[in-house]
Amino acid sequence: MNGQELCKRLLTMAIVLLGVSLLTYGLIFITPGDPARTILTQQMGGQIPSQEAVEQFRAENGLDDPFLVQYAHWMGDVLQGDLGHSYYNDRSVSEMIIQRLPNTIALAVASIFVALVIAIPAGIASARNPGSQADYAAQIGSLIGVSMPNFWLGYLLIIVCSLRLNLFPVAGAAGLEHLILPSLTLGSGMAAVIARLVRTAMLDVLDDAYIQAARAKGLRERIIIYKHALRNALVPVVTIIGLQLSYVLNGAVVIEVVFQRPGLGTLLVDAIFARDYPVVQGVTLLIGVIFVLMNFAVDLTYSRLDPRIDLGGDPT
Amino acid sequence: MYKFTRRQALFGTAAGISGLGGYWLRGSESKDDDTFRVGSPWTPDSIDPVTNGWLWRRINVLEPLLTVDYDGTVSPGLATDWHMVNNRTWEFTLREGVTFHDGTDVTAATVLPSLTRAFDSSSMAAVPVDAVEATADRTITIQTAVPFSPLPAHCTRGITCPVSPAAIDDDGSVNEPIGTGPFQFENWEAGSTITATANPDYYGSGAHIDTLIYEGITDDQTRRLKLENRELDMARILPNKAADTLASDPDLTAHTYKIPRARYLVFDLDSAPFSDRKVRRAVMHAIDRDHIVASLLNGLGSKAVGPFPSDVTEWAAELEPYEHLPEKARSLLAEAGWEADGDSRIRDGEELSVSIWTYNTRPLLPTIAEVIQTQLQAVGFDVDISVMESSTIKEQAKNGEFDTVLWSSSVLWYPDPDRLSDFVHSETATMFSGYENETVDQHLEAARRTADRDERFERYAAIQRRIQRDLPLGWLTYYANVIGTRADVEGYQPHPIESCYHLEDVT
Repeated sequence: MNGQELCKRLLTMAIVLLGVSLLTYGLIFITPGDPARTILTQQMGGQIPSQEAVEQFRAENGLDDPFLVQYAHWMGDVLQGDLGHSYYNDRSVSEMIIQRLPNTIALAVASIFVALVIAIPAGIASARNPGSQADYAAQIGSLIGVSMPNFWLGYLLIIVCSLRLNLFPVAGAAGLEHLILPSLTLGSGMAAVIARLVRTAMLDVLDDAYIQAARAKGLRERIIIYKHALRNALVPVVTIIGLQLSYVLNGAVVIEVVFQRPGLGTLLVDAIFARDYPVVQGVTLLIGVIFVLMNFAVDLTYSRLDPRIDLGGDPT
Repeated sequence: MYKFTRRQALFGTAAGISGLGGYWLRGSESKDDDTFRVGSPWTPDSIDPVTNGWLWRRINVLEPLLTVDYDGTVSPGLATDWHMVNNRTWEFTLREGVTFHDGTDVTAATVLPSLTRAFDSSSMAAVPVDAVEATADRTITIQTAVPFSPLPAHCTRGITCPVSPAAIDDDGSVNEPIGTGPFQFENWEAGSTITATANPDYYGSGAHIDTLIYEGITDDQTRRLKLENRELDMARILPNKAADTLASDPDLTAHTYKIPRARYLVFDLDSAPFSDRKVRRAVMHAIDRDHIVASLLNGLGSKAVGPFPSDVTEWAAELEPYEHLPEKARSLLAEAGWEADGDSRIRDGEELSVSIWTYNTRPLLPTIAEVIQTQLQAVGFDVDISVMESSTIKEQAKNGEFDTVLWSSSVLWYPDPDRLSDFVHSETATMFSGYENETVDQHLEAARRTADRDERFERYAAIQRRIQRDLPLGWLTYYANVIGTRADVEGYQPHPIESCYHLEDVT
């Protein structure tokens, strides 16, 4: 990749993010539900606010301005590095995000780790002997993993590992011991998807001529599988991991709620319910950035895994 | 060989992680006995009393001028005495010898900035306060724009709790909840936990426990599992069906008690079919509320007669209940012109078809809506249910046409029956029935002008009787709360209005 290509990428990224922010702002704006009323209800401990209160709040927060004016204000602040303040508690949005981010990243990394540790050996085992008992076991396991609702698996793990076996605490976000059950819950669901993908990709690759050549050369099976076959089979797997990571970043709400680990997912969902526009916008923007960067990283990984994949450099 | 070392490394890591897990777990198990952990559905989201004061009040870090007693009456707090000087002026006398947690004396001058902030805030916009002044060392004078006798009840709200002047920054924001309560702020993690310690200089009897940890845990199953696993000493607001299992566990205790909160139907009085009072009465006679209480609420809570549950508050008037009489419902509908046609009813070629809107952030509402649907279908209504977000319902019901909304709210969250204005005043109501009645408005306004308790009671009773007849809202059931504690927790007395948990009494 050269400098020109990088510039092109950055420009695309800026356009994508602008589109994402405009779209989310527009969508939340047309969603019924007045932020003034909703947030005041929250501030008053669940009671419906009076009309005077709503009007005062709208005026204080510039909510009476037209859509584009509000969006322009927000965008202007963002360009100066200010994500704004929550309508609800007046905390700075970037501070709220930074506070939640460690929980989210820890969960994302740990659950992807769990997913890979389960999925790659399982996928390889079933690809090496398709139709064997190990293959069936792995496939049935994946099917269960895909079908099992997250929250249910979470409760099951809590009941077994915490209440019965007394191994881990039920919920919380204080230390590593609090990370194990949620990452197992989230990771096992992801593992199911990845294992099936590894199996299919490996089956494809193992049929290729160069694998036969390697075998003919007398290489040990272990080297063939891990060094030659797996590396080529990983390309689609990396794509899926990239997609799943963004799911973990913003979609793991159920896990965050069941295991009481406030992260970006709950921050976003709560903000949407509260119509807390600045928070919704800030989190969406961050997720957009992560998503775009992740895709970029995935592309870079492709060319590392398979040098034949060229990222738009000069054709030679 | 290569294979072996890698595997060993993996197993080693796994063993190490589980070993650490075990170590940490032992750490959390051997917790200090003087630490009390309470888990509640509400996460702490702000240290500012204006936005989150009700939560800091509940754990008694902050205290208001006036408090709510266990019988729901307004009682002394930081102010020991309060009275109306003239019909627009109130005087509050502050308690002697009270200090904020930072050592600052509680005087009229030091509580004034907090009170001004609170009464200027949007949340208090409906309370017509003109001016708050420190008129003597221990006297706070509050002027209202119009005579306003519910003022003392509003002074029990968490939002009005004073914090030390040092806690308020120059830009008006609060940097630390430095209050006066039996617990003092130690630290917090926004969105999850608060740690507070006993205030050694508390003017009252003070806390029995050294440290209080408040955890906001949105999921009710998680709260319950943490209680079972000794990670909590108290889990608040558990599902009704948890009460029996808690009671059967020797390590746990279930506290169940009634609270002034109701589920009710809000009828749209501006559009057919509910613009006709006969149809609304038919609905009330068609619904079997005993059945809802027994089967859906596990017998906790009770069927509602009017807005206020009489066993929780003295403001409940004696009202004629709507009994479950399906035959009467059918004849009322026939009187209103809705004639039976097979299973449904028709008037002028139009079918008697209504939709119930409700939301699911309060558990059980959609299930109750389904039971109501069946019971209304039995008398000839065609009913569909829409489960929406509560803020969407509020907006659409306020702006547009709806039939009926199944709603749930506290009926007495500040302890004054002026709360009825929110339900039925023609102009200031926050409920969306569109009810307009001059007599009711006059009673509400007159009751605000007088501090005479008997006169107020009579007026609020008249309003309750009137709306019982007119049915802008159909009261269905009252709530009971289920609180689980570890069996060794003593001294906890549930507070009906829950403005404060009073965990200082717990040992």
